[in-house]
Amino acid sequence: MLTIPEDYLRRYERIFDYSSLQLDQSLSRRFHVMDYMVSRYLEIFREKDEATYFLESCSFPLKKTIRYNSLRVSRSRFEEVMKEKGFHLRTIEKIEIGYEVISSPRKPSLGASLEYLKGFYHIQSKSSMIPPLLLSPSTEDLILDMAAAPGSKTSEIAQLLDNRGSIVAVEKSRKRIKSLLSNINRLGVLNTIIVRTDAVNIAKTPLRFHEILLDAPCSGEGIIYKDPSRRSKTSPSDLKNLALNQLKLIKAAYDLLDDGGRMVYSTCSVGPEEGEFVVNYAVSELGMKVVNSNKFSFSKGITDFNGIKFDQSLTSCIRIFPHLHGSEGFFICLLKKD
Amino acid sequence: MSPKERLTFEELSDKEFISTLRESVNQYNCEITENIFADKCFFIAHSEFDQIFMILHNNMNKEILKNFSKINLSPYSIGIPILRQYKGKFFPTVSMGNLLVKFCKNKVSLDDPEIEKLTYNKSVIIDKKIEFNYGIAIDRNNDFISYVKLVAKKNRNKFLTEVIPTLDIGWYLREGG
Repeated sequence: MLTIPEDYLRRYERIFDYSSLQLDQSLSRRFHVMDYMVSRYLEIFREKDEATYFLESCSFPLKKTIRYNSLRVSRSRFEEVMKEKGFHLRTIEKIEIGYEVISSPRKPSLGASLEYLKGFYHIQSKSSMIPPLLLSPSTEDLILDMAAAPGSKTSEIAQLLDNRGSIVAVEKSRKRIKSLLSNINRLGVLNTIIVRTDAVNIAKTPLRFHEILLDAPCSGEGIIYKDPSRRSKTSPSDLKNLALNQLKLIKAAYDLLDDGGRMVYSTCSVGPEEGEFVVNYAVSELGMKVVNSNKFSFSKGITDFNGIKFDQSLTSCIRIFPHLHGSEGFFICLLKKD
Repeated sequence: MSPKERLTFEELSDKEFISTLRESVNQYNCEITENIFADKCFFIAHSEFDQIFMILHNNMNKEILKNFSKINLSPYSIGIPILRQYKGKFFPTVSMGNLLVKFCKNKVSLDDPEIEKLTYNKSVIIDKKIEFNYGIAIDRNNDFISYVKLVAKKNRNKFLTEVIPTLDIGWYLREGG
């Protein structure tokens, strides 16, 4: 019988006890973050200098990036019209659909230009473009996006499929689902059914999916620059609750996945409690396999954190850090159900 | 659509859809033929006000909806809303504008400064006489900007037209969420 998320969490509860980790109050004071966060960064990076660079990078905005939308416009016309409007863009290495905004005109802003309204592009971080690319969906497939709002990744999947295949986009939040539908509309997505529910409920139907994207609700520890409240908002106990929800979602994703199906698990967090700890459950308790992809060169997943060892295959997961890769902190992992 | 509303969906035949669409866009002088929508299917969502949704045809859609109904789960959308009912009549949504520009003749091409005003839901006055009362405002690339009402004006001997947006793409910023 498969281990349920609650039991797994109970077994490894000590991952949320940071009392044995090194403290460095000079860093927590300097960067206005809680002591336990610094202890974790020292544990993740193993060197104070790197933890410092990471914390420094959380204080500055990152370069803006956009995804051009081939469902609405050809690449050549998009580049031409953006140049005409005074946006200087540069393609992102290994992400053909992504552009870095080198410079912008004073007016209009990136989020209010006519081209934005026409759905020619979507404002999306480089890190957030990776999960759909890693999933690499096929046009014949039935795909589930389990926590879909505001629709950046749903619409990217639709773009990669050229509006073929079929996507079920699930969003639990009443508040956020409006932005999901608006973006789907604006970006010309025509292969998606949206449903407002907890993704766990979908597992009660006989529906099974060939591919699943689970960009799980998380602490947002990878986007502190956008939400400075994260410096003092999430306690270890909050982190534990988030991890439990993520474990439940990955278990639901496992149940919803066809045999041989693939899943991408991602979070906009650098916390191993929300990344490797969750994927380790899928590997060690559910029997899923981490798929090694050489598509991207970011940092590797970690296999040892706060006295807990994760499966060695987790080194094939991806970690993105703002100080190393110039993009939002993310954890991304491609898994297969055998 | 309010997120609190629960929609009940019913599939529409192509014929029913085309007939509803023709009626809802006749003021824009459109040539609607069935082959335009051959690869798409349509659902009417019943709620406080009805909406018609469009999705690309795919055999998996029916399977998905059938399974949702087994657990009494109603979708929030099936594809995108393209017609919305108001006071008993259907009107095209912003998303529908991208398609209609290809098939409708009552179009008004505007310059960038005028377009910017329309996207802020403000009317503009153009130095031109226009023969129709309702149209679709486009930019120089024939891209949809807004559904508009046109009111003839006269200033001394000059014929002018006031272009009043009724639903423009700025809606995505103002209402889209």
